[in-house]
Amino acid sequence: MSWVAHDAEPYVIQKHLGKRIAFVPLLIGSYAPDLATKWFVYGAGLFGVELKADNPAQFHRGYPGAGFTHSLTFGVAVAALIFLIWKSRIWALSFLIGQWAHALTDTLDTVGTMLLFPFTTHLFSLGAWAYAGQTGRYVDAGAYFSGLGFVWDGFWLAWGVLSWRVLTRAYFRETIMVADPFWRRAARYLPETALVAIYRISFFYGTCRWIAWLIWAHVVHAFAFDLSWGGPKWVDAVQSKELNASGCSCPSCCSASPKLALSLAVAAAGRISARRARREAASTSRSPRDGPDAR
Amino acid sequence: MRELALYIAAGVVYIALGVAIPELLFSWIEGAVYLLIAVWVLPALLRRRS
Repeated sequence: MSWVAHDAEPYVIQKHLGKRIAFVPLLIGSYAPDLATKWFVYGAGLFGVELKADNPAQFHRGYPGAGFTHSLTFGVAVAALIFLIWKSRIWALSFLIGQWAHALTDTLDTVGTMLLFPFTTHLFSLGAWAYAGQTGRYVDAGAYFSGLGFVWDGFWLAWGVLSWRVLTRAYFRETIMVADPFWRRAARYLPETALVAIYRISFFYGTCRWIAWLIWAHVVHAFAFDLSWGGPKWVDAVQSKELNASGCSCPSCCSASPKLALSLAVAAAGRISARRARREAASTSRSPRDGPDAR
Repeated sequence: MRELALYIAAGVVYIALGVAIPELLFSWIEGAVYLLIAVWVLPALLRRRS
């Protein structure tokens, strides 16, 4: 899981897509996969009763469980629903982009996401940092902010800072408000200062949390940094292969990898030959002009 | 520039609070309410008083 990237990514996406996107559904999409499930992963007490998933990783990302919220299809389904209800293409597209950003970002931990659910329940994982949701919120925080996860978040925050123009009042007026009627309606009740603050909340929240958790983990406590791939190794991480059925017979496990490799090889070969053909065509068209006969 | 300073001051206080009471860092809603109070409600109240 990512602790801060989901806060910062929408601002970077916003910078690149401008008025073609609406910020509120983009942000909701970015939070959507964890919106209703995260509390059950870590557990919560209610009237003296402790509610927590028996297998947090399975519940969070797998099937059976709520892992379908991290699939690309879930984004498409909700976006279609948004389009049907509000008839807004920009809202549907914005939600889709936010949700896909979340689903793809979470493939970076050791559990990964069921990107192609319901076609396969296979968890796609790059395993860059440890998934330790089952250890509880605080150990998970310590582990996440000691491994490559916090580096990934830092990358998005830095990109967000470099895209600082999207956080300005002028950008809010000229792009954010223009693209989404939500802000124009809200402007009837709230002053611009409040609207701009609402727009900036997630970036503020993400940046502050990133700094605060780093201080908490390495100054207040002494969690050890381990920037190795899949680290930190000192925490008991859940791996995708533990959740993917052994001898998984899904199309992804059986055939996707060889097919993907073959497709990439064919694409690369095609590209090289096309480039060579272009170069040859350019040299033959140049030669009559450049040659002595042309003069 | 004054606006940026206000956000930075709010951020520093939020980080300090978060390190002292990490439970605060889990709630987006509390973070949102805090930011609105810090950069909109409080300055507006102070302006009205002066």
